Amino acid sequence: MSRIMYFAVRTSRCSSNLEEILENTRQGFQSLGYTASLSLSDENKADFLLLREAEMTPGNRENQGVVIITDDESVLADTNSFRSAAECWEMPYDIGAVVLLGERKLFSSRFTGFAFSPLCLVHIESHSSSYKRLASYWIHKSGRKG
Amino acid sequence: MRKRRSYRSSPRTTFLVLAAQGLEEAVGELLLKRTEILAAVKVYADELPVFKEKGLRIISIVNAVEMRFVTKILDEAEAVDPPGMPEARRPEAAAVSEETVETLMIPETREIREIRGIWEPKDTKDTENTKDNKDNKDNKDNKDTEDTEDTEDTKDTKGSFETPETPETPETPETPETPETPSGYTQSGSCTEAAMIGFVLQISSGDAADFSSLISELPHGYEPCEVFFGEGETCLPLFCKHAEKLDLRSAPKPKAVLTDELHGFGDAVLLFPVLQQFIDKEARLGHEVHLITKRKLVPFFQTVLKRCRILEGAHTHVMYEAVMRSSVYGKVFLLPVSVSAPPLHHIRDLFAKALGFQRPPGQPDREKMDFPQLPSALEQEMASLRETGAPVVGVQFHTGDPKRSWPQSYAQQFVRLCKERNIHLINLSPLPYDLQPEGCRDWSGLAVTGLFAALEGMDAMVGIDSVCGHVAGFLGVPNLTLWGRSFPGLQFPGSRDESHVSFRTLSANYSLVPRSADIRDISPELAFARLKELLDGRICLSAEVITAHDTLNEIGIEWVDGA
Repeated sequence: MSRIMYFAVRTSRCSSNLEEILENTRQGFQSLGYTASLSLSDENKADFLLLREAEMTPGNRENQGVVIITDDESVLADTNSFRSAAECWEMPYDIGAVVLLGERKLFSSRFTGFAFSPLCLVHIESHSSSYKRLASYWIHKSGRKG
Repeated sequence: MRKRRSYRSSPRTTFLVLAAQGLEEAVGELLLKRTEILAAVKVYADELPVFKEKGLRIISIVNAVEMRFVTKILDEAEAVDPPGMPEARRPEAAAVSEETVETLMIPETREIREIRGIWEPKDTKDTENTKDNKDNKDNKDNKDTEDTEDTEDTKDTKGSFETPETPETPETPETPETPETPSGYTQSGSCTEAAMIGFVLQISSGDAADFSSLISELPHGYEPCEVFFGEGETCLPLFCKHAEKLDLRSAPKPKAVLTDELHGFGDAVLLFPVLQQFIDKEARLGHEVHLITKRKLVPFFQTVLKRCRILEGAHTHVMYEAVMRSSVYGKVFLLPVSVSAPPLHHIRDLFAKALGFQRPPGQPDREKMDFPQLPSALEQEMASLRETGAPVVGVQFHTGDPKRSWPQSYAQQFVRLCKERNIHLINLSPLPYDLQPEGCRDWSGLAVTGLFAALEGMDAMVGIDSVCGHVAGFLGVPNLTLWGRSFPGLQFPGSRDESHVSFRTLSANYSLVPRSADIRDISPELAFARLKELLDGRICLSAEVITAHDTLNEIGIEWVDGA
């Protein structure tokens, strides 16, 4: 069964190139030895399906999660440290990660690349050209050692 | 302890201690007994030269796990590379080095066989080994309480271990065709198959280990994305480069709770009732909870929490990232202690919100809680004090933070005033000076978990913003807090680290708060006067939980002006 990541765009200032983010993430999965597809028709064939918010359908919650794409750097502020990401963005599935677009001022260290409680990985696009870290994180959250 | 730790850069040598296959947990555990391990690293044989190029000193433990030898090698290495920029840390110097790995060969002795016996799979052990194992396990179990004895044992046997000047077969894992090296790990052409666990240690000139530099110390591509569990209840960040193949079928995973590096015993007292209710809630849903906390808090949480695995872990962002990204845990909660903007939160509310409670759960039934009893001598002492009919009051005047500590002369004067009015005082925490000549009893040797039984029998508690006051607040014992450095509703006022979090005790609190945030503005006479009013019932304190709203409305707060 494929694990599904829905990408939901919540930007105000920056324009997001969703297709590029999806493709970069797909390549991240493939570089780690997993199959990933951007097409719903590959369900149950690919290890991971990377889909748009519009393609969201009801289903197994454990099998599906959401990546928020935003340009709001307040996600890194400590006023969010005790809040759930679901309080900020209402979603039918768990929000597992956030892609933060644009140049960042609050982000001074790679080790603050998380926020909210429970923690979400924050992928800072301007600090990383590769989406491998996001893919690796999602693999680990989805799988377990055999 | 809420002040952020700053890392001074200091000369240091970074070691990578490689554990032979199957010995990872044993090597990790024994290293942890001698030093601080910064991280575990999943290393591939063909990448060892890259570690060497980064300036790491590599030691491979190949046929036994006796850390005295590692200590010796580390000592020798430090002597060769004294504080200052060690030669091996310069990439150009390392590049010309022919030897990549220092292989440590240890002669087979009876003691070594015993050590081996501990870690070998049970089905391969003979009867004698099993007995040895039990003996050693017993010793291991006793170590925490018998440190001195252990040291003596070590001295006794030291002479029987010698590190050979020249290792017998210092093999470097360089030939991919070799299926197994004397170093104990299997090699193959594929780096995904020839992995072993290494441990990163730093030998520095007296400073704490520098976790913040870990990323730059390790070769490119290694990231903290897993956790490594030692033989004991220890959790290390595990740096990996290559992805593992995982089973992607759904399966329940434990949830992890990380306490922030700034948490101290007082915070732990505020946290544990909320955390226990979180654990109970998750248990009803079939979820296991692991608490990853700093070493000093482990015994406390082991005593007060039920149905929770307590792990010791370094509190750094490296660790947080490793736990968050690991495949071991489904969800990870990092409990915050600071919020840089209003509104004000009580730290208990913050913990509750971080753990997913809409509002803080009620306090647990104290009658059902199982705290350790007082030692019988102290119980008798308390009983005899109670028989006098005079009030018995606990005190804490000192902590590691000088700005929160009351000056010695103030404490002495306060004790004298109490003695004159026939109030029995018992000091409950370590002091750098002695108050017994002034008439204060000393129970400072009590463990934090012992404070619950101690304070339960007292009429009041007077102290600085620290653990004893928090235990009193938990128990509903009237408590007078002498504030310094922070206010009840604002941490670090006037600094860029201002935080809108209240650390008042949970209940029955009266706070004396210097406007200057200087604890020296609280005179012994003022503290004594308020204590008398508390004991005489002229100040009435509620047993209800104190909220952030109460603190903003200054209920139970008295501002103190400087002289």
